[in-house]
Amino acid sequence: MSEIIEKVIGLFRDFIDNSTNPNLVIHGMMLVLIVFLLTKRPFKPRHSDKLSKKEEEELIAEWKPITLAPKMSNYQKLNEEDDIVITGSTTTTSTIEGHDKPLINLARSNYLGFIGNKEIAQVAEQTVRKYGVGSCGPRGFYGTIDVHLQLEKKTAQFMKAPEAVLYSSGYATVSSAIPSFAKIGDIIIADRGINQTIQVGLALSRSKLFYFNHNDMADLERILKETAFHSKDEIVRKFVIVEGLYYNYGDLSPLPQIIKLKEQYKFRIVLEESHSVGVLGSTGRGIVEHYGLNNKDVDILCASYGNAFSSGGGFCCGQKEVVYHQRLNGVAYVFSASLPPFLATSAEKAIDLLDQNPKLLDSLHQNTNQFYQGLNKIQGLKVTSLPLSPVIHLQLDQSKQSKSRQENEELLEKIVREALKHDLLLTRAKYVENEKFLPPPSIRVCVNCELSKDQITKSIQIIKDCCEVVFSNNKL
Amino acid sequence: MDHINRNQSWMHSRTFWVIYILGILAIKLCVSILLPDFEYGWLLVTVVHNVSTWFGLHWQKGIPFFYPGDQGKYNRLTLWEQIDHGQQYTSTRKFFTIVPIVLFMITLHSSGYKGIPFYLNAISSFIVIISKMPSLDRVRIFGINKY
Repeated sequence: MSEIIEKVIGLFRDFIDNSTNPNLVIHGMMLVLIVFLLTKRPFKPRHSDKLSKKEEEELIAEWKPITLAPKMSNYQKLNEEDDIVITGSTTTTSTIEGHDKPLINLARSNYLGFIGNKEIAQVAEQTVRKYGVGSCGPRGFYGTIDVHLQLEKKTAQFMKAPEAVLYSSGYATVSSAIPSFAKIGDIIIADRGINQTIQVGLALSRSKLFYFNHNDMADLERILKETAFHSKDEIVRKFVIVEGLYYNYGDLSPLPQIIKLKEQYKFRIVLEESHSVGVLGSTGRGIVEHYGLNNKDVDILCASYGNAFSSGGGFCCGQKEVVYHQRLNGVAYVFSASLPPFLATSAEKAIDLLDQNPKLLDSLHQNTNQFYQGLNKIQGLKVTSLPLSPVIHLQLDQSKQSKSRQENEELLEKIVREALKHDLLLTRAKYVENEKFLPPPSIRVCVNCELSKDQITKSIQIIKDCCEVVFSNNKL
Repeated sequence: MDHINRNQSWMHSRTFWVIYILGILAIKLCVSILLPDFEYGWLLVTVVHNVSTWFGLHWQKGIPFFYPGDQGKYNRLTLWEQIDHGQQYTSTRKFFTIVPIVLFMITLHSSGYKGIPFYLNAISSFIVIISKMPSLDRVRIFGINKY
């Protein structure tokens, strides 16, 4: 057999060697290959995906389970340490676990002193007796109760806007309103000072994001110029997102200038007013009233009832189309259960109270001013907020700052702890650690309009004393 | 049963086969018109065809141009392996194997069996044809391009 094969190969080799034209040979071989291919019948090869025992064991040995709860960073540990459990509250004070005396509470955004207000509590109680605690359904799905419609109407009237839509969570308001309008391919230009709620909304929108430096109009204009050109066939929506009163910085956005730019570059303004509604303006209508602007210039206005109105939930107001769009596209509106009725009525009552008694704002501004003057004199701390902002950020002075952020936070935490011993409830401004633009560490003092002059002087004195104690200890 | 894998379903159309052959001829025509004195026109066409089809059929994996609604079923398969759900020696596969063979033969005829042109022609065609063989289905030599 092998002899025959050898003979055939020998013959073949002779043929190639003697052939005057090897071209022909190769052509012939190719033709044979083609004929071979054409005569083949289709079949399906079997591939087994099974692993051998050895491979299995290797894979099992390699696998390492990830811990269910990730390890906490030092910053997170610091934030977790001061767990304070509040057991009771009046308009200005709170009682906490493990502390006998009531403390002056400067840690909550109760600007108009509506927490602990008896009239509101009464209204809330009546509503609970009538409707129960929850509405048990989303707004479009058996969740709408007359109080929701009343509150929407009231809010629209109060904000002087055509319509308003109610959300069941203050946090979810802006983070649902932004993605309902801005989609993939749209352009969002946001201030670097925006708080974490808006950051969530930006991430959910999947739009193209640009950030301008905090309150820097020249930078905003630069970005607007950069993004002005795109092909005419494309429809690109452009949004500029600012906060009325920046919770992280305690200053105002220069809205008149932004509106001027809006006429020039054509974009829509999304304004987050959680901390400026009920605080700014002569009757508490927010930053639009403060600057004396036209309501129509702001396209989408979102705010929370949770701060000045001391209730829960949030609202978004604007033109009819803006509101109706959200009733089908606002994820938090469509899919989450509606606002508990008693929160709706207490928010309504709070708006009523503010409307009846705008003098609350005067005393709020007086208190803010007094705090601002007093805190400014404390050595080692500097006030970075504007004088009219009830959110006062106390940063460490240049001389007291150390290099690492963590050490600064720890120093501020010591001041807060020290103040707790002197019956004053303070808090640091706490952030999510991987926020995109972290503001510098600070103590956040929130002013309350119900505080008396004595209480304010006392609190300032306590902060001053605590600073002295902590700074002198820190040197040693 | 399976939904249609739009990544490869177009390859079975006889119209596409005709367009494919006409396309190769058109490229050769362009080369002839643009470079009338260039004697390796067929070689150029063959090599370009072999390189481009090799990357398209045997290197790129998964479904690059459509929304992959298959839950990653084809993520590790090249386009060649996706044809006919992996069935071997189907008419589509035979056609796409014969095209480079015929191109090889034409080039051999026009640029001879000696020197660098022959090796370029032979090696590129050899790699392309060998990659299409059933015995190399889902085989990754030395683990190259495995994941």
